[in-house]
Formats: sequence, structure tokens, C-alpha cells
Amino acid sequence: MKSIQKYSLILFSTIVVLTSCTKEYDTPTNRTIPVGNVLTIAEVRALHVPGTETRITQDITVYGVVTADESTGNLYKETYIQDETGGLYLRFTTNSGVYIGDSIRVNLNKTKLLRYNQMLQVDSVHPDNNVTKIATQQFRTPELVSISTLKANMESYQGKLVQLDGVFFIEGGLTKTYADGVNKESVSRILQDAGSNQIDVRTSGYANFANDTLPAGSGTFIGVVAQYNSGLQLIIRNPNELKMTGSRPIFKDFNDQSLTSGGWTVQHISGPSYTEWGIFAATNSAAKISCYNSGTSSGVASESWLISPVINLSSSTSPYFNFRNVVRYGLNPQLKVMVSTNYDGTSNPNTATWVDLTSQATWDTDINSWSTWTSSGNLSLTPYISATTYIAFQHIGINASGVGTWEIDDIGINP
Amino acid sequence: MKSLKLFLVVLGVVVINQSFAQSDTLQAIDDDTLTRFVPQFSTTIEQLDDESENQDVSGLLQSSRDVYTSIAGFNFGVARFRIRGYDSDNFTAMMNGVTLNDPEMGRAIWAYWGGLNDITRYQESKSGISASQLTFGGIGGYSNINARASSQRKGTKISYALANQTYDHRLMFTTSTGMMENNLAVTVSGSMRYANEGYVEGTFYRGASYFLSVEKKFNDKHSLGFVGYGSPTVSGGQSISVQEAYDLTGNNQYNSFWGYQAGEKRNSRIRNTHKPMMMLNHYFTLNDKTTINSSLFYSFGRGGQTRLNWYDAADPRPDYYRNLPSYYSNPGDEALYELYTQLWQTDVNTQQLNFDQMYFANSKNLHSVVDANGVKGNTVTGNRAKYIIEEYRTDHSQYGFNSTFTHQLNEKIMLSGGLNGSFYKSMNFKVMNDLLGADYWVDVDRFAERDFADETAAQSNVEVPNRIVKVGDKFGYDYDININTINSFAQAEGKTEKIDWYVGLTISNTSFWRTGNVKNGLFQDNSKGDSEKKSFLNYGIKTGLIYKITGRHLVGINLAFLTVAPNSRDAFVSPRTRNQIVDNLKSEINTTGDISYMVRYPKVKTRLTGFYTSIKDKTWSRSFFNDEYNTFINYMMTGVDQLFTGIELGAEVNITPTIEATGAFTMGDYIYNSRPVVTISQDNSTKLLAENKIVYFENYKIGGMPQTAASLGLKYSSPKFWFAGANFNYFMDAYLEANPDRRTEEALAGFVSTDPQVEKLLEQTKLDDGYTINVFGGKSWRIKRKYFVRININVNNVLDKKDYATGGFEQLRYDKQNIDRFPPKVGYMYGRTYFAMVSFSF
Repeated sequence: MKSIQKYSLILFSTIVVLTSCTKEYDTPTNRTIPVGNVLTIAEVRALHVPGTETRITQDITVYGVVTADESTGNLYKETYIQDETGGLYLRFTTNSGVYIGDSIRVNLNKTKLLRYNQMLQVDSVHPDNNVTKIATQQFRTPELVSISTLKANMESYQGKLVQLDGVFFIEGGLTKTYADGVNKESVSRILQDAGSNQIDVRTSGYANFANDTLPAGSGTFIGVVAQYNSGLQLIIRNPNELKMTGSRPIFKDFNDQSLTSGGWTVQHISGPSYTEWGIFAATNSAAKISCYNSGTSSGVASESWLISPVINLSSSTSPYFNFRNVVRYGLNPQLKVMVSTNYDGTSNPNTATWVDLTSQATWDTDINSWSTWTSSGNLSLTPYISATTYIAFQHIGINASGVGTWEIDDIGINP
Repeated sequence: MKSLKLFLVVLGVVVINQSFAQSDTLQAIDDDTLTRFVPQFSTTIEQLDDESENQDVSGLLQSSRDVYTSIAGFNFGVARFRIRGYDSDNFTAMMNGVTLNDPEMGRAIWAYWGGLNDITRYQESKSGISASQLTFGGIGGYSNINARASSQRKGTKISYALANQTYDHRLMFTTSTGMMENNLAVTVSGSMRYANEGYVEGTFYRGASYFLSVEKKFNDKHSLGFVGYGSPTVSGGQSISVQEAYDLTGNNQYNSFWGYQAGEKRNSRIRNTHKPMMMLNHYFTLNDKTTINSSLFYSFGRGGQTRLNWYDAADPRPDYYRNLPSYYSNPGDEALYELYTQLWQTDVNTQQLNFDQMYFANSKNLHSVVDANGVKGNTVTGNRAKYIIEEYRTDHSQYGFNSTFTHQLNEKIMLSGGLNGSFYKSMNFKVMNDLLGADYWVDVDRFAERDFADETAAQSNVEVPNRIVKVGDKFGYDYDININTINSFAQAEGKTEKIDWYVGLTISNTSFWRTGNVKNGLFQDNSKGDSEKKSFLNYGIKTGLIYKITGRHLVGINLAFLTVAPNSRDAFVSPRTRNQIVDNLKSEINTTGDISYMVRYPKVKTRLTGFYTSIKDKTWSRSFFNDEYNTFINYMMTGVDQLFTGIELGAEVNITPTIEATGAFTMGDYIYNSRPVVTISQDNSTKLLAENKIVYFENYKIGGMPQTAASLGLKYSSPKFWFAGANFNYFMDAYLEANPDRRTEEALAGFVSTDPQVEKLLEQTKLDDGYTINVFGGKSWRIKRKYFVRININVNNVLDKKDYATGGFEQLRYDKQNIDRFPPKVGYMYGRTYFAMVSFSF
């Protein structure tokens, strides 16, 4: 027994020693990326010689803040950085691994500077060998611009983070999506402002919001600016940043032969059917109203309303609307234009409070021609900003001779 | 009557020689008598258990007396041969009657008691269906290690082995007192195995093992024993890769798992296991007719496997398909193709992992985590890890009892039976092993993060969102699998002059369930808490007989029908993330029969067996790491039917008193013969990649092993205590395991039958034939009639053939239009290896 005990003691102690030594590895010596010449983004952009592809072979460093990243999948192996002098588009060999707000130092050695369809880009950036993160959460405020300013200064806005106010997707509200997430195909959607200026918004089919529905409304858009040949494309960073919930401009031209399309309603309160709002002409249609009774060649008492869809003005600052009008045969009764902030959209409009704006509009006064279409001028809705603003055209028929017929067309409401 | 007799003769009765509960089946293979048994033909007897990665059952059969199984066990193992094509979960491994199979996977894992060869060689093994007084057994057979202290050979043995395989050095020590005067018997054994670098580049091995068995005899009726053992092992892994990587490096043992760190080789896949077992055994002899042996056992420990992971960074694995030249084989990419080819041939940091680069990437990845650890306003800033090494842990605890009895009813009939219960729980989770120089990791899933705009979806644990993970922290997933089994069997066996027979029955109950310990962001409703509890009642019946035509010529037959509960490992859809059980989960139905003809002369022993086995309603589940999704993809097939038919032939001939020849041959046909239904899920998405797809799997071969194999050996044993020999082994009909998804209507959709893609998609790759020549020799000396010194040397694959692919699988990821884009992964047999041992005993 003694020998056994001795042996086992030796044995077990060696085992303990052996198993207690797990492998340890040395930490590799810390490497840093050299800095070399420091250039601003504008200076880097200026390095590019048009029509060439420049391979950078020395240590040139540019500093910038990341303004767009890959976290939604809308960007892939690419990112945008910006400093006080401009924006720069970086294309990586793999995932960039940088995030919005990262302040990074990029050594451009071994990268390429080129233009692809007019977009200046730094190509072949290696996320580890070229990039050093020096700070985080340095979020950059987007620059507020208009579509027309962007288009007039494409080069200087390339790669920059911008904000557009009062814009909307033309295809918004039609259940269209940002892109084709099923077939993973990129799609361009058109963004428009109140002045009818347009710009493309390009979204990747791999974005995690590709299959989300475009916002229907109007408001603030934030994205980065890319160029594709002679046009610009805005790239969404994250749809959460888009505050496009306000009412988009409403434009009613009646060319679809419908009084009520787009959420408009007609409330015929009293009077025979010919005193109700109707459509005039099969082409270049307009809305028409009259209380003229051809049997008696006289007017009849009646009341008929043409009411807009609800207009959400809660995010508007100076909304207004306008329309065109023409009158013939007589100036009376005067068509009235009104506004309400407490109408419910369906009830008898007389149950709501309406403010009469008739006197603020310009009206046609030539009763001898249908050709004297007159623009109302812009009627301010600023005093009536609410989430449930309505405008309406009210016609009160009168039992009198010499009544006229009114037509209105091209009603434009700009929230 | 005559025809019945004829029928019986033709059918042949009975079993293979080992199918009986002969009292002498328990073979203590004694090194003193190296020439005594066929098994010494083995070139690997000393190492079999070290092939822990293979976990091949064939090794268990090392001490089988059967000619065929012993040869197959020793010589076919290198080719991943499996006896009769069975999975190892059809084989029951026991110690002192206590089942050692892992309840989750169903199979025995040799590594848990690796290095205890001096003990584990004392075992009773039987292949196929047979009589047993210890267990009903699976269709593959069983093996029982006798660890009882009083059964160990008295004496002390110290051995040292030098090798160039998994390990280079092994030191082993065993001492047994035998039953001492104080009625106490003690056995102590221990070993150390070590390789700074194993046969495969970048691998290493550090293993220890310990064993203690104590037995106290109280009186003639009662003895009490204790056995405890464990085998803490840390080893570096070997990859299997695509052919392109082998071609580029010119090395069929290319290992993509390692790379340099600060000039030192580091392996990314480190297995670190230690699962000790302890048991109390009560040996009770009621009288000369009845014995009852009972055990209580407890086992616990850690299982760990490390792996690289990365977040928002390039895939660091050198043989990732985008890092191989072939990714650049499109027109226009010629320059890159050239560059990558050149780098692969000249730059070790391209061929292998580049840890320095990973440290570099981690060293400057400053990042702020907002609302870290779920605390509003808590912003953590530091270097977020792009690359990490994480450890997949499968810890466990298990306790249970086992009790068996034997009763000699009369001279002709012996009864036996048993009851055992096991209560098992595995703890599965990931632990941060190394941040590779970074400050922290965030416990989110990158893929879910990108795929879902909702940020909670990506959280591994929604109760602590944006959790900061440091070294040693659990993360990713955390769940338990609980398995309770109660198992009983009864057997009657008898012996007459002409006929030996047995009949056995079993009935068992298995129940299992999952317990989720964290609430996963993608599966908030079904990830935390207990899953549905699945219960299976199983039964089996077996019978067999041997008809002794003469004492020299015997015919045997064995038949069995049994149902087997599905392995819990196959039962859950993505257990890492959710409590979801595979639809239509059923017990598998095994039907098996074999018929043998045996000849036993002193100089010639042969056996010829034909077998037929059907396994129906098997659940087949695989979990693969998919690099595109950066997650595990789970394939679950139900209704998988398999058919195993074939013949086995073994022969042992003593040509002269000193020269012995052995031969073994098997030809099998192991196929799938149903159209299973496959469901494919991914760990990090609620989306199923496929649901209830029909797999046209009929007549596909079961892959991963040679279905035909042959061995011929010669051995010379000198009366002057030395021996030498050689054997030649040939392997054929091995196939790559087929990807079920490629054999579906959906995969073929869009093609017409004449399209070349159709054949490409459907065909199954057959591997080339292979062979090995092994030589061995040994000598022993007796010193002062008291001490023995022995030397053994084995050289495997003497011809150093390195081009035999022993197995592999079609990648589950595939490109319909271009199958070669994700080519199969194959593994090759080692070239020449040696194992030399010197031992000293007294």
C-alpha cells in the first residue's frame, strides 16, 4: 500500500501541474497607422485628375465624421464622411465597420481615387489597415438645403449629409415601397418639393426597410447626396429620420372627371339636383355650379358644398392655397370659399364653424366669356393651422333672375 | 418434420460466437501473452481511444474475440469505417454495467475516459444483437469495461510511448493491489499525453487522466466498490476543407484553424473537456445461483469548444470561399485570381488565420454602446471587439442507478434482468474566451440586427439589452436540456447439446425537455422557460440461437425488433434560440437480423455473416455554421429510413505454430430508402428557410464511410518472445454525405431534365478507393523472473499515402447554377505515423 500511495501521489501531482498550464499567448505588439500628410476632404477631392484613376501610394490622411453607415443595409461596404470642407464617399474591401458619429482618420495609402459615373470615390479602403476611429458620437447636423440648390451645386454637395423640408414622395400614399426587398433590387423614388422641383431617392433592395411603404406625407427628409451621371441621388440613412407625416400638397384638377377623388366631398344641402356641384367638360374638366332653372330662366334657392379632404397642417409653417375660377351669365350669387378647423369631414358642414375667405380671393368678373379664367391668388392658411383643416367652396342659390354659373379648377393646397 | 429440420439447418441457428453469454467472454487482454489473441494484430490497440474526434465505435471492439470485428476495429478505423454502417449511437458502452453513452447524442464519447487504456482494455464486447446479462443493447452491440478493483491484474506497470499522431508523448502508470489480506483491493491509474504540435500542423494536445478503483469485500456475499475517473484534455483542432485549399498548399492535412500570433502558432478551435464520473458498486451474491449487482453513479463536468466569431468585420477564415482564388475566377478578375493564388502559395498569413491582424483591427475600433446593459443613458465607450474567440460549452450533470441480476434457474436456463434510471441535464451556453485585445463585445446578433429594423430582435437576452460582454461572461444563448430515462430488460438463455438460445425483452421510457435561461429577442414568446416535455415509451424484443452442427461447425441467427426514442439532440428546432420541437417526432423503428456460419478448428477460425437492418422513422438533424448568415443553419429531416445490408467475413489461420494469417472482408450497401421531409431553420431568424420539403433521398448512399473493406494480415511470433507482422487494408465504396436540400423539387425547379445542372445537383460523389499497409513488431524480456520489459512498435500507412479521402460532406449551402461554387469538404487520411511504446511491469 505504501508504494501505491507514493506512486499515486507523484502521479497526481504531475497531472495537476500539467493540466493547470493552459496555453498562454503573447499579445501582438500594437501597431498604429501612420499619419503622413493631412489633407482636408476638399483637398482630397481636388487630388483627383478628371478622367483618371489615381492609386495613392503615400501616407495621406484625411479626417472626417461618418455621416452614413451600413447598419440598415442600405449601404454595403461603403460609407460617407464629412468635414467642414465637404463630403467624401468611401468604398471598402469588406464591411466598413464604422458607424454614424464615428470620427475617423483614414490613411489613403493603397486606395484609389476615381470617379464612377461622376461620383468621386475613394475605392479599396481596408477597414482595418486604413481606418482608425478616434472618437464616437460626433453626430453631424445635416445641412438644410433645397432641391434647386442641390442641383445647382452638385459637385460641392457630393457626399454631404443634407436635410430637405417640405418635400414628399410623388408615389407616396400609393402603398409603394422604398425598394424591391423581395427580389433584392434597388429602386429610385422621386422626391418633390412644393415648387415641383424633383430629385431621386435611391434605395437598395438589401436595406432592411426596402419593403416598408413610402411615407405618404410631406415634411423633412434626411439623407446623403450621391451623384449618378448628370443626376443626383439621395441615400436614406435610416427611415426613422424621415418626418414626412404632414399633408403633402393637394392638387385637384378634376381631369379624372371626378369631384370626389382624392378625398374631396360634395355636400348638397338643398335644392334640385341641377343645383348640385357637377363636372364640366370631358377634357380639361372643371367643377361647375349654378342655380339656374332653364324652365323658369331664373335661379332657385339651393345650397351645395365642395369640401377638401382633411389637411394636416400641424407641421406646416406658412400654408396657403389657391385655385382658378371663371364665371358667366351673372355675378350672383357669389361663390364663397371658406375654411374650417373643426369640421369632421362627413356631417352637414353647417354644423361646423367656417371662416369666410371669399374676400381674400381674386374672382373673375367677366360674365361674357368662359375664357377668362382667373387665378385666386394665394390665400394664407396660417391662421388655420391644425391637424384637421378643411377648405370648402359654398354655393347658395337664390331665387332671382340673372344668376351666373361658376367654374373652379386647379385647386392647389400647399401645407 | 423433415422439411422443418432442413429449414432450421438452412436458416442456421444461432449466433456468432460472441452472441452468447459465455462466462469467459470477459477478456482481460494481458500483455504477457501478446500472441494469444487476434486483437494484437491491431496496430492501434494503444491509441484507439485517442481518436476522440472520431468517437468511432469500432475502437470499442478492440478486445472482442471475434475475428472479423477485431480486425475491422483495429484496421478500418483510419478510414472512418463503421461496423455494418451503423451510427455509434446504436452501440452501448458501459462501465461496471453503468451506461456511459451521452444521453443527448446517444453515443459514447471515448475522450471522456481517454488515456486509461490500462483499465479500459478489460472489457466485454459484442457486436450486433446478442445475449447479454447487463443490457438489452442497441443493434450495434455493446461493450462493458470491468473497472472492479478486484478484477484488475495485480502488479504495477509504467509505460512511455512516443508517437507522431494526435500526441507525441504518453506516460502511463497503473498499479493494482489485487485483493489484499484486509479484503481491500485498490487500483490507481493515470496518464499524461502531450504534443506541442501533433501530426497535423497547428494542433496540440495536453491530456491527463486519473482513475481510482477501490473495492472492499465484506464477506462472501457482499462487496462494495468505488470507481472514479476523469480525463481533462485540452487539444487544438483540425479542420476539414475544400479541395482547393489542399491543392494550393500542397498539403492534404491542411488545417485552417490555426494562425500566427506574435510569432507563435495559435489554434482557434480548442477543445477543453473534463467530465469525471464516479460510481458506487454493490456486488451481492445471494447464493451460488443468484447475483445482484447495483450501482449509483454521478457524473458532471465541462465540455468546451472554442471558435472564432466576428462582428461587422471581414471573415477571417483563410478557406472562406471569398478568400480563395476561385472566388475570382470570373472574366475580368484575372489579376485578383493571380494575386490570391500567389498569396496562398507564399504568404502564411493568407494560408492561415492572422491573429496579429485581428488584434490590430480590435485595437482601434472605438465604439460607444448607448443604453448599455439595458440601463438608459449608460454609454460605454471603448474598443469594441471585431474578432473574438468564444467557447461553446456543453457542461452536464447526470446521476442515476443501475441494478442487474442473474439467476441460474436450472442447469439449462439462466435468467437475467435489470433496471436503470438516469437523470441528465446539460447546460449549454457560450463563454467569452478571448477578446483579442478589445475591451468588450456586445451581446447582439449581427444578422438579426441587420435584417430587422426593430432593435430588440437582435438581442440575445432582451432582459439585459445591449449587454457588454467581457472575458469569462456567458453570452449568446443559455439553455438546459433535461433527459430522464428509465430502462428495464429481462432475458432468458439456455444451452442444450445442439442448441444455444436466448430471448430478451426491454421496455423503457425517455422524456426530455428544454429549459431556456434567457429570453431571445427574436423568440420572445418561446425562448425562456420550459419547453413542451416529450415522452417516449419504447420496447424491444430480441432472440437468437446457435445450432451446433458439430462442435466445429456452427450456424447462428439473431433477430431483433426494437423502437428507439429520438435523440434529444435531433429533437429541437434550433435549441440555441427557442423551445420548438421538431414536428412529427417519432421513435425510430429498428428491425435487424443476421445469419452466420462459423468454423472453429484450432488452426482455422472463420465466420461468414449476412445481415439485414432497417431503421425507420429516424430523425436526422444537422446544425451547420453558415458563413453567409453568420449563424447556425439547422436541417431537420423526419421520416428518414435507412437500410443496411451486407456480408462480413473473418478468418484466422495458424499456418504454422509461429505464423498466423488473418483476413476480414465486408461488403455492404447502406442506403436511405424513404422520402423524408426536411425543415430548415436558422438560429437568428424566425423565418424558416424551408418547411416540409420532400427530399428525394431514396437509394442515396449513407456517406462518410467505406461500405466495402478488406484486410489481410500476417504475423510471425517467435518463441524467443518477439513478434512482427504486417497487414494490408483496402477501402472502397465511400460516398460523400448528401445534402438533402439538393434533392428536392424546389432545387430542381426551373431546370429541364436535360440541363447539366440537374445531374450535377442530383449526383452523389463517390470517393476513390484507398489502401494502407501497416507493420508492427515487439519484444519482451523477463528480468530476474520478476520484472518485464516490453517494446511495441507500430507503423501505420508505411507507404505514406496521403491522398485517400476518408470522408466528407456536401456543403449544405449550394448554388444551383454552379454547384462547384461551394464544393464539398473532404478530409484525408494521415500519412505515415508511428507509435512506439516501452513498458516496465512488475
